[in-house]
Amino acid sequence: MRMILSLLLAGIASTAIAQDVSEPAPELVGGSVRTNVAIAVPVMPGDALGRQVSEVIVSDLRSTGLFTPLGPGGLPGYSVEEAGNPAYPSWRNAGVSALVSGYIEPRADGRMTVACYLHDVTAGRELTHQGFAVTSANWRQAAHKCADLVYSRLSGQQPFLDTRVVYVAETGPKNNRQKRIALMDSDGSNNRYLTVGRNTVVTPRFSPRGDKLVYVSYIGRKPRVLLYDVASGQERLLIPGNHITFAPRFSPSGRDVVFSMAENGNTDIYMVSVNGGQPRRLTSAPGADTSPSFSPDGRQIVFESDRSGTQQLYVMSSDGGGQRRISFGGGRYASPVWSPTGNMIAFTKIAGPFRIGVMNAGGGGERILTDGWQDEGPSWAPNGQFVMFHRTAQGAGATRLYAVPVGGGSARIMPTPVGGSDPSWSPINN
Amino acid sequence: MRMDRAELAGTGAALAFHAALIAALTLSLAHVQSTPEPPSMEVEFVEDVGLEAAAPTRIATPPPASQAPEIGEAPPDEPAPAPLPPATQPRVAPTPRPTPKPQAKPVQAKPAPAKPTPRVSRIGDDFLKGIADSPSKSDAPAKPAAATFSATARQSVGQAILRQVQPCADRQPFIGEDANKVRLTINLKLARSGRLVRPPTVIRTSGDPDLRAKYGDLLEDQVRRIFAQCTPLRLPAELYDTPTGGWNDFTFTYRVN
Amino acid sequence: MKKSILIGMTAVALTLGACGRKTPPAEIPPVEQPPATDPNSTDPNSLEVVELPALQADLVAKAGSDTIYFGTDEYSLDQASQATLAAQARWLLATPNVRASIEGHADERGTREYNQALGERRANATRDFLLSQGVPADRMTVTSWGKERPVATGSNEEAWAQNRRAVTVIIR
Repeated sequence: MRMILSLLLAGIASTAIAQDVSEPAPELVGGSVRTNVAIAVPVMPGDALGRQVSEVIVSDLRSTGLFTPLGPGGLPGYSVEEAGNPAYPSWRNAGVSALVSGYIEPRADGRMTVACYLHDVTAGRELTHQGFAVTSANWRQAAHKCADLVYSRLSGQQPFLDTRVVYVAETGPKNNRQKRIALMDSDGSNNRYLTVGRNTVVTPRFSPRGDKLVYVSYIGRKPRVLLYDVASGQERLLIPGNHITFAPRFSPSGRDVVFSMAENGNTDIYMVSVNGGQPRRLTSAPGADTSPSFSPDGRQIVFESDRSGTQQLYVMSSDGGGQRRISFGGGRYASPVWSPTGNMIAFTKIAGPFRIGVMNAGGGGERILTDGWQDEGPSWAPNGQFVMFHRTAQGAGATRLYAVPVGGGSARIMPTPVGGSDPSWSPINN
Repeated sequence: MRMDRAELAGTGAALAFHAALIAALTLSLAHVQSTPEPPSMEVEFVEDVGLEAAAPTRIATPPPASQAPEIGEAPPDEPAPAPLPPATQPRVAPTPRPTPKPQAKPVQAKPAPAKPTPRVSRIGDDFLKGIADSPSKSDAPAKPAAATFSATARQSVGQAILRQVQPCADRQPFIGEDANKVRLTINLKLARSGRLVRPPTVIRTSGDPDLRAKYGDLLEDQVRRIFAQCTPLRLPAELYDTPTGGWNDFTFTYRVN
Repeated sequence: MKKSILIGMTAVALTLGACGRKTPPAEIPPVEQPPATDPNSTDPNSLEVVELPALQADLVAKAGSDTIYFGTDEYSLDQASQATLAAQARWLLATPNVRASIEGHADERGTREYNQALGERRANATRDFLLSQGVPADRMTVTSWGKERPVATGSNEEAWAQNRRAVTVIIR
């Protein structure tokens, strides 16, 4: 009898407990609204450069396509002491969700510190801050680093704003086009020319650490691959002799360069050490094999070949083995580039117009990103979120550089002083 | 073992009471589940959450009749609206059994505060009144003995909290194609005012490790923004902290769509 | 300075070489090697090539054209091209002291690097035909300009047809 009672009580008790445990926690679902974040960037106190620093941050954040930046003009100022302690309610009333504040102060070593704070105005708290020590001549880099800090923290992505672009600057009519290798910051500042325009030059590409370039120059009426040191300006022929060589790219280690050589009506892909020596042949199929690009782990190379009759994309291991086709959509595929994140390949799709597209690294999942008449020559941002390319207009053939977000969205023109083509996006600066 | 009459009687009584308790709980639960949730009201203090005891009322709560220490005292707030029958109001006069009287006097304006006569505790007679009472004259169905944080109450309160913050959740921005594969389990500690006592705590993050690393912080940011914007919450005071739980401590999951 | 000395010496050497013989020299230098240039040089300036405009004009006048044309994405020679090249071959054989840079071009409706390969195919096909007409291999060099040097500026079939070409450029 006592046992019956105990069982009853236990039964009641366990029923009560079971009721609590069996209920799953209720779920709140957030909206995922495609909207730009309103972010205020008032003038940074502490130095006359503060306004320019804020202006660069605003321009950088706008270029990401994720923000509606406000300022620096028209926004209230603040003191150095207030940088880390803003009046959140006032900013909430102003209708902004985020705030970038900071200050500039001189250092004992003659440089300056640019302090950068990011605040979540809605939640009323600081999200992150960091200081950057720069020479006063290099203040722009601190602004780009601050913008990258803000972009990364609010998007979850790796940075990409503190980068450079090497490209071919183009002037003159279509049938007498002058081309020069040009180097600029990704926001268009600090643009300078590395060649004088006497020889036709095409396809400059950065080394993995951004300290060297390979590019093609027509010397002696033949396209040659040159290796160029950015800091010193020194350059040399990468492949000696009198061969037609083009389409060069560095390996991820920076120790080798893949390229194409055309001979006796056939174009194949070769690899050579940056220190010189005999190139190794990687492909030998009849047909035009060109535009090689390494995967970021250095193990594979994607390239284009017309061995099947039309230009298609192929992948092989870095020793040339296992060549297999990965493009099977309608149309032709050219100029493939492996993304720095390893999961995608960008390319030029030719199906009437030329458009920039991306596909999964294994093939499939193709998406077309642009809608120009002749868009070609993609290059990835180091975080894999944007692709730069050049767009040629019909007729007079003016070319301009554009950047398009890989997730979808409009292409944005890059601020070059004259026309531009063949862009290559650098890795993050030091 | 053989039992004697006393043991049998005691056991029988115990069984009977347990059965009655189970029956009362079961019946009241079943009854409430069939009650549609009343619409929110633009009232200052209370969000109607479909409690067993609730009729739409303009006071914070009717004090539970059977809470022992309170029985003899006047109820703290009692601008008694007409529907509230005098039967549920503790009587000021030491009447052993308050009987429903046809007094429709709306102005019990401040009867209790006006007569702050300290009463002797009346535990003995009235202690089980709440349990044994017939249903009150209000529209509500059978009341439980105390405002317990039953499973239904927990569910109702949870839905109320999430409903109040949904407009802020709806505004959260898109953060990535695969962000919806990460789920946070969040715990809140709330004050009676309906505000957070401390920032939301992430108890657990579920999903693929790479996606968790990428989106975990951003999702937590969203939760903090949501609860910064859409608080204070308006929830029934008597369910804030009961012996069986309350909305002072609330756990939920968050993901984006 | 250094270049002109080299070229001068080359010219002298060639002249002297031509003096005593009526038949081609027994030793044929390797294909594609410009004479007196270090094949292992990595100095870009060692590769310069000199055009000869007056002789170019003479080629055009005597052979009819220095250019042949191709179909879209094609590098085969039609009858008209073969006739033109035959005439060019005769001119070259009659003008022994010069070489030819056979230069292939493509229209703008191709991607940059593929067009560099396509230009080489056209130049190579042209060079092969000239070879078959008796022009010695060591007197010709092949190159590709891809789509970098269009002559017609329109974005239409007529302009593109003019740009798909191989040009025989007379060089020293």
